[in-house]
Amino acid sequence: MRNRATAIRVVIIVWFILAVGGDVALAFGPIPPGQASDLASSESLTILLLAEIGWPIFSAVLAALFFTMVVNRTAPPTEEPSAAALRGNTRAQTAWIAGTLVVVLSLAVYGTVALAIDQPGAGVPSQASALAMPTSTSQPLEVQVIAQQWWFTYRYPTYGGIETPQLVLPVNQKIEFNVTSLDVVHSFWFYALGVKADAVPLNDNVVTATPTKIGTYRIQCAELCGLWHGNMADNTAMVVSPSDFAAWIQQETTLDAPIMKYLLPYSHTYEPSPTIYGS
Amino acid sequence: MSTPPTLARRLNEWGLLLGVIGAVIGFIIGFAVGTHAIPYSFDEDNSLGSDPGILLGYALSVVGFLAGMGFLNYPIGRLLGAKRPTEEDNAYMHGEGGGLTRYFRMTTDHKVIGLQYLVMILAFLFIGGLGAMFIRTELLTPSPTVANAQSYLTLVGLHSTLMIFMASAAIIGPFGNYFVPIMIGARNMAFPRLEALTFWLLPPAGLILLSTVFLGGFTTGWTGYAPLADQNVLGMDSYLIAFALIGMSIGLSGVNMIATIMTKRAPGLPLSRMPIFVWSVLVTSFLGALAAPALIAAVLMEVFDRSYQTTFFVPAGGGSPYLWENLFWFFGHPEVYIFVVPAFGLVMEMLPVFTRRPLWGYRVAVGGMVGIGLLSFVVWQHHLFVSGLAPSLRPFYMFSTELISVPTGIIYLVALGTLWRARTRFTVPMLFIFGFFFNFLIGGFTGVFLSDVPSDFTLHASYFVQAHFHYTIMGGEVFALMAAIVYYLPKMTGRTMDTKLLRFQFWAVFITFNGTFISLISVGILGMPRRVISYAAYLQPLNISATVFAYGLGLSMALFLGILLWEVVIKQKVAARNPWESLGVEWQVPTPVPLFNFDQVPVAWSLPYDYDTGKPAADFGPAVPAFSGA
Amino acid sequence: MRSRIWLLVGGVVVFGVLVGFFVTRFLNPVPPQIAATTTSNTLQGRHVVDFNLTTVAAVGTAGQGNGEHPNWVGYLPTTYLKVPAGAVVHMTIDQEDGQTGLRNEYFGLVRGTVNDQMTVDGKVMGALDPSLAAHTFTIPDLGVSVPLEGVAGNAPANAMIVVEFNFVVPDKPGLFRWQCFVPCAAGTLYGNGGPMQTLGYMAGELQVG
Ligand SMILES: [Cu+2]
Ligand SMILES: [Cu+2]
Ligand SMILES: [Cu+2]
Repeated sequence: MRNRATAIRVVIIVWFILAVGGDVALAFGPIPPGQASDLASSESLTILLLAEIGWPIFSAVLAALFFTMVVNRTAPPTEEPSAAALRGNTRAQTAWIAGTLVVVLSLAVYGTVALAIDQPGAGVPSQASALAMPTSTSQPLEVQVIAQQWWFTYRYPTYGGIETPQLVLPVNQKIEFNVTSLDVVHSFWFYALGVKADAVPLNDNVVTATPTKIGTYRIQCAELCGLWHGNMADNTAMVVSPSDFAAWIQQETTLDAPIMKYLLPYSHTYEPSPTIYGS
Repeated sequence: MSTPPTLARRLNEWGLLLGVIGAVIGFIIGFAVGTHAIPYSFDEDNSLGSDPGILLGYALSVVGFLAGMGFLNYPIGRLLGAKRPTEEDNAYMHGEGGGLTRYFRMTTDHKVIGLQYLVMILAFLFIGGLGAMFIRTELLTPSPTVANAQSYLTLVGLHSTLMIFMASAAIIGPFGNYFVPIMIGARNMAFPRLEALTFWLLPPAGLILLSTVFLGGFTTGWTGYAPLADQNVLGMDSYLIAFALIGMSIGLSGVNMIATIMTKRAPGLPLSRMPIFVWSVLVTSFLGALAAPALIAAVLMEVFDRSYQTTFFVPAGGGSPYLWENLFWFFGHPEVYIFVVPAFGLVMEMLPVFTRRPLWGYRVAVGGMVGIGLLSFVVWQHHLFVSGLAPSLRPFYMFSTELISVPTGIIYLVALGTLWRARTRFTVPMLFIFGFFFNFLIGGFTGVFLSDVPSDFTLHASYFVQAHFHYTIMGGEVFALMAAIVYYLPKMTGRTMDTKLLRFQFWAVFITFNGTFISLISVGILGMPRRVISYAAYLQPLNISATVFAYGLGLSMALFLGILLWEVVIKQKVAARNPWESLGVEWQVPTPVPLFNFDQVPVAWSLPYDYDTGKPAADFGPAVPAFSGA
Repeated sequence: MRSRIWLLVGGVVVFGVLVGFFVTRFLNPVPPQIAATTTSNTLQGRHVVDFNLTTVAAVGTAGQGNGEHPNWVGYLPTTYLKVPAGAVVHMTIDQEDGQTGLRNEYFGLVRGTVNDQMTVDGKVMGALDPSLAAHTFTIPDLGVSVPLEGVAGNAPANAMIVVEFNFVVPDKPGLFRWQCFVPCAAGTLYGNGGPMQTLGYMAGELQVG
């Protein structure tokens, strides 16, 4: 690199190719967590967007670091900048701070809007849905996730409050997950649906998502909850067609028949009884 | 000294042994009182003891240790009307004529304490690193092999907690203590006994934490989430006491540093001309002094939960797990900047030396670090985005968290400005500085995904988070630490570890580090939660890749320690007086540094970055040979 | 220099021994595993193997860890079980412990066993009143869960309830954890500390194959 200007140009071109190439590759690559629900789609869109914005900036800083550290070393000495220029440059600093501020502000605004669309009134159960059967697929069907050391069980309040050790959901039906715990803090993670919600005792944590792809998925606990935390996972969570779902509900209702009279009435949280320190 | 040593001095010489005896006595008394005097019914069938016994035993054993070391002599002596220590006493406590033995007793010399810290930090790093190797070995397969579900969780908890201990003091401890007084022209710290205390809290903390394996271990990881912590066996008590000690060390170190920097600066050294590293220590000290009390309070509550069956964190008893989460992360987030701000400071301190340029944008750099410090207190709930706590506050915490990238970006701007058009000297420390900026950049960009609520739904509590903070702490702070060790050892020991092999070591550690954690970023994105011993089978190939790189990483870190021991302890290779040709005042004082640093404190000070004019930071008068500059 | 090297080598050796000792605390202790006794019976075309476990309120010195926790509840003789792949396990549990009650009533249901049934003192049952449960025998990954009725408070000493059930293990070898869902660890928070979180008491592993 004889000429400093040439070197700068080369670095900029290399950066440009990298940035555009990376962004194009990102746009065509599969972005986790996938498209198995509206929430997951929105999350992977967010991740894609952050990556698309982040990658050019990231590679630009890297290119600048590379350039200043490596290229300068081999370049012939140039005219020394003035003493003042060596100690700072108000315009460059203002521009840098303003630039990062703009990026940060727009990211925050985007995130807030995306959050508002994904999870309107997040964290609070929608009263209307509690026990009533949804009349349309856009009305949420309530499913309760009960975390306990160390297994998730699920209750379907609209189907007589039956409880099951397996999660089965109807496709294209908005689901309202009401996550609670019977003991310590767990976290319900349905990776494919983009659902993650901490299960906190005596607390009802609400997330809504509409599964859009039939399939068998993995759910797992994402908050350290003791001995079997690593095994608090299940590969048999399913999203099925509405008719399969109805059949499954029927089957579970039959299986649950002997225990139904003992189950507590459906509630968003469950007080421990009789004592919190065991018998 | 011609006069025979007094009894107090003789006792001080044997401080470490007396400390151990004191610890044993303290433990026995505390254990007996705790077990028998506190009416108690909780988990009483444990043959190893009860929670009150263990908790009080550990607490009193620390008191006994410190008393044996001699920390109570001065306050109690003064209370009982003893004379003020003479100049000669002070010089003795400062380690005058102590030789090697002064490193094994309580001294008030910040230089001795700095080296004590360095050794202790490296020991923590080594043991924690062994834990990491064990963890990676276990994760070669998707189901338990070398460990089991129980021992694995204790292993994870020990690795993380030890590394957090190490990281909280890794730079402030050795280099802050050693160089801050010199850099500001002080003859000593403001509270030298307090400073000694901050160090001597570490060995008991480390040993108490490790003792958890004899008490059944703990399953909460370093975050200690309640009510799981309430449920744990006796091993949890080790974690609590150890973490409280570390909290005290961080807080007291902060108080001491703030007082030192604010009151002990040489005449003629205004804040606006302090070396950037001193600024970073000042910011960090405020973080430590303000954040650590939240941790200590939380730990105390947990101690009461476990011993008196209070229910601060038990919802069914009227408490809340969110209380622990809030207090813990109110400490925990500033804590990560306690790790990394001193690293920023060190790196910016070294950059001008190797670029032979003034630090570009000194004022914005200071502003950036102060900004990071202020913002770090209002972002903690980004750790609780999916916790179900106050969802309506999420946009605020998302915004404040993303805002931190502005002051952090400034550090990169300053680095680029300093490097701009400079003919950088690629010495070993400079290589590590390059590694620091590269790794921290990845750490920063992965952080953006975690600060954004919708993407955090997927990434939270996954290996993505784990890789993210290893990029900032290990890739950032530890790389800066290694740069600083190579850079400052000639000053601290008069010996150097700068060899050709070290260049190879850098590239080895750099490549294996990135190999490990890029693999782990990937498993995180693909859905692997943290702290699990069993994982989905499809994640195995990436886990194997992470493990293989991690072995390389472990070996190259061991190589660093090996070179350090070989060159500095065995070969004792003598270093040049100012091998990097720095203008900083710490390189202008003689090596070894005189007992009270300066025989005559310079009065004319400037920023130590005037490489264009070659003017040293402090004017020592004509007695010191003029420095040749670049 | 030579003396310094020896000093260093000595230090490394001492340190290495300490570390090595420490590491052994984490190694998966090879537990005393009990293997199922084979029988000549078949059920659903599979071989039947037998297990006989006893639950006790206090394991005494027979428990794991050299009697470290003699007063903890536990399964005896051990919770590490080994069965051949594809077999039907005929499990007999002598239940000697008292009634604690389930935290989640749902686990009063018998699931995943052959015909979703168990036999309690000879009586066939599909569910148990959750408040009568002393423990459960649950293998989450196989979907097997059986509540174990506790001995009534007024029952004579040495009273025992015998629970029997059959379940099928997979044809593929694997390691499956199993546990109890009754908060039976008296004195610990939510009854889920101590023995519930320590391998060998209320937590165990079933090795298939
Ligand atoms: Cu869990
Ligand atoms: Cu944070
Ligand atoms: Cu039990």
